Amino acid sequence: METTWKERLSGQISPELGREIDIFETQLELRRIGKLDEKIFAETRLRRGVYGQRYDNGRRHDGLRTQQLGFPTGELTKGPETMWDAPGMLRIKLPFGGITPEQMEVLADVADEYSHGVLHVTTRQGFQLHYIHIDDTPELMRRLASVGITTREACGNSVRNVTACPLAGVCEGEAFDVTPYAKALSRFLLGHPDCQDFGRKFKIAFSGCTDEACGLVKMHDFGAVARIRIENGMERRGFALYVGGGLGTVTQQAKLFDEFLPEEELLPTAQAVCRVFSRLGEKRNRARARIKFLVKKLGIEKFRELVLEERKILPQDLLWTSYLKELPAWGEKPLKEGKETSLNTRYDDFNEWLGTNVMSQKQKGYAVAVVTLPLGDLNSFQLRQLAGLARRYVGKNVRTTVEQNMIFRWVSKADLPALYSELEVLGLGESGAASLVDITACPGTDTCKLGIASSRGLAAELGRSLRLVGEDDEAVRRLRIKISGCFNSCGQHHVADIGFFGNSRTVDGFKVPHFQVVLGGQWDNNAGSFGLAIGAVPSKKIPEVVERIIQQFRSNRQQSEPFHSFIERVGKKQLRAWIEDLMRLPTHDVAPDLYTDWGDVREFSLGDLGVGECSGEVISQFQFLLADAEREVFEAQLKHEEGDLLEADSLAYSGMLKAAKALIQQQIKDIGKEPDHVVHEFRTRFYDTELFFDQYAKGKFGRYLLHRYEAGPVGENTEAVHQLIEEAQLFIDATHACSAKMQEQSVLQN
Amino acid sequence: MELQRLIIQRPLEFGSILHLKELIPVFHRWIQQQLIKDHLLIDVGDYLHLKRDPKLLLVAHEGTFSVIYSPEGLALQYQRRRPISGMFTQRLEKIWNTLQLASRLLEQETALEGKIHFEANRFRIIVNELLWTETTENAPKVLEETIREAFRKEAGMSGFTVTCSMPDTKERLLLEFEVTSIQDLDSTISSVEQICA
Repeated sequence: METTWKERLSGQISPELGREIDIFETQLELRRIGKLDEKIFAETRLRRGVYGQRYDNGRRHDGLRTQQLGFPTGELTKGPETMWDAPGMLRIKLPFGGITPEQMEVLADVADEYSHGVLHVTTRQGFQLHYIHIDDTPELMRRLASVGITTREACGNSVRNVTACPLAGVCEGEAFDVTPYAKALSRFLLGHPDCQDFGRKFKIAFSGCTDEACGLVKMHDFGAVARIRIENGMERRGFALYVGGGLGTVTQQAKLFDEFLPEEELLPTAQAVCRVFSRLGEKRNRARARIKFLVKKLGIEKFRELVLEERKILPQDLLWTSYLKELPAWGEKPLKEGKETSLNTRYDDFNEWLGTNVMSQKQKGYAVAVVTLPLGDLNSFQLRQLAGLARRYVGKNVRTTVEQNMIFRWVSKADLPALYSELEVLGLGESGAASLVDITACPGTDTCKLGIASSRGLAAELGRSLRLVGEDDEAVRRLRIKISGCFNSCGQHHVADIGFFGNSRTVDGFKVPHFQVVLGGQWDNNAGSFGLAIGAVPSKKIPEVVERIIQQFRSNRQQSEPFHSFIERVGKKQLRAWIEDLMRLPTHDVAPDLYTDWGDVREFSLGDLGVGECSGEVISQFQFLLADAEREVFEAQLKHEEGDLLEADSLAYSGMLKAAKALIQQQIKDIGKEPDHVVHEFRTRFYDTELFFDQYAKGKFGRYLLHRYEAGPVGENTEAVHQLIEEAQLFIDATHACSAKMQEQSVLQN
Repeated sequence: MELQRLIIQRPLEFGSILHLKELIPVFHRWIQQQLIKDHLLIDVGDYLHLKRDPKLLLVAHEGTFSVIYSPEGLALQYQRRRPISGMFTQRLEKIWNTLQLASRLLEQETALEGKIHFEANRFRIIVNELLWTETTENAPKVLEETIREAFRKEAGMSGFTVTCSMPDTKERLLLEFEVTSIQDLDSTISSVEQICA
């Protein structure tokens, strides 16, 4: 009988994914026994999607005092200031938000067993689970891997989940379906060697058209908008490519890199961009390490020039274009025949849902139905039931959205009433998608270490208070509210009509939760412009701010003036005047409630703020490779103990090769995995030059590698294998020393 | 394999009228005073915006307490998260005791002014470990018999009705217990405590 998921799922997980998870499990063990540095482990786990959560530094302000949380494993950490036992978050990638019923069921299962049965859809079309214990993560990852889901590079300084317009393939206005391109680029860059040495994260988005919001291309590091060009009477596919956009504390609109990048150039150009970012991007100052700062510093022309130079020297890769051959066969298959049907008036709620949550597809007889998730949340039961609904109505055609909802695509219009009824039973039949009450909020102080104010608490309150607002005014109803718990913009407040981000002010000697009001951001045109900061208002007075701004918009807009134009016309001075009185607070003894946050009865404090992990740890590629080499030598020891001598020999040798490669990569980027190549480069660059030599042992440690390479496997001789493992460890130690020596020399030369 | 991940639910008496928000300050105070034995209480989670469960969470390192809507109405649930050493009955005992302690604290909570009373004779056990359910032959029967035996053995209880359900094969294995005679639930729990002491 299988007693572990590893045994039970054997054969259901791709060997590559399975091996990656095994490696992560070994890394956990190495950290647990103190053989892996906490910073390296922190970035390692982040790149596996294993993220920190509020209070994981072992401290929590309980409203009276800061409690030290005495976790059972004591001082053991999973990163700087991050206790091993502390609950954490797991981020799960779903490229372009695509999800199948089978995947939904497994997600529901793991949410039940390892979390508390609630799943959260993120603004990057992924999922997050909270309150996860790190010891459970390998098992959890295996279960996800069994249905083709990875958490790899969901956090850390890596390429994050690739997002795409959720209507891709079914939208009337698109140039073409960007889904296969998003999928191909996501696969291509996952774990790619050229994406392992970034100073910060890297976000990619695709859109099928220029005008709509769906892809939010202009706020991304790398954004592609589908374009078709007629050449010699033939349609040619390509992309308008944008680079260097971003939100965060310093917002920047992405710059146009190429008006028309042919489809076959998409992957190599992305690779070249990654290389330039990796080589020239800031590494030390993480506040300026996103690619937007590099683009700004160099200017788009120079940046483009560098990328195109890099593109020319990239080694040819068949993966760049192999997926294009499959494109003619690409396409989603509807589960049922599309039927046009009269949908008028069953009853009011249905009609309202129909009006806000359903869009016709370009394919006749089909519609897209949005399942509105309050604050992006749903529970495991609902997700399991949604999987059942998907099987009955649309098959695999379900996606998540950047507005934290889910959509069913390819719904036969005749099925809409039945689908609605079933959603309603599940508590998922709320109307109001993409409206004033469909509020986006980051996790904020609920679970995020950086959260200052309760974004979700505020969103829940606004969701309640605004339910009936705008029913008589479509322009008001269509306004979007987005909330971030701090200045880092995870709630995308800059691109909302009405946005907020959390901060704090000291009033009357008390810390008070506030939100900065940001008005007039443009959601359309792929996040076409960013909003205007008006002023900070106490959190509890924000509903009144929204009410006033809406009232002014109702009364003073000119004909069909869009909200962002209205805000621009009115100007900051007047806008501020409308809310200025709300920025002031009565004293604490008069209104103590105003000094607390939404949904939290504790006295407000900033004492729970931790060190963010959004930016990860800046660990060099060299450090990573060395840690990986050490992990292999550790595994070699385990295999030796188990009596698997051939595997132990192979792992020890592989560890030495990885260490050598780490050194070589400090001098040349393109080095393959082949031992012949690695050993040759090591010999000529480090051994023959005596750079690798120890002051006393001279070339002894280097010879360990050369000897194993020349002599081949040591055979099934336990002593010989044991000796090789010891030599491998000494070789890695010498690699550390050699690198330090090179750095010293570099400092002296400079 | 060892069954570790269990959930136990106790429904509130029909007619308990409570605004769930009232529980938020109560849970925060429990954290301040670390009121649950052998538990490190960490945080309160507010999911009142969900139309389904959970509504509120009290998160501890060892397990999570949730206020939920069971089919019969409001219930308190304890979901064990971290493993417990010992035999199954010992693990069961610890989980029982924890839920019992939390239930009593709520019943006695002065801020709630006696609004909460738990049903004396009903509880549910959910196996939150799919691997166990999938790999144990006749899992529902095995579990039911093990739990019955634990109660029956020394407490001399015979008045159980047990309903077992896996409403959908995708859902968790659930056993619903109703104690119809001899002793009420609190005595049952005490008996189990004695058995396992």
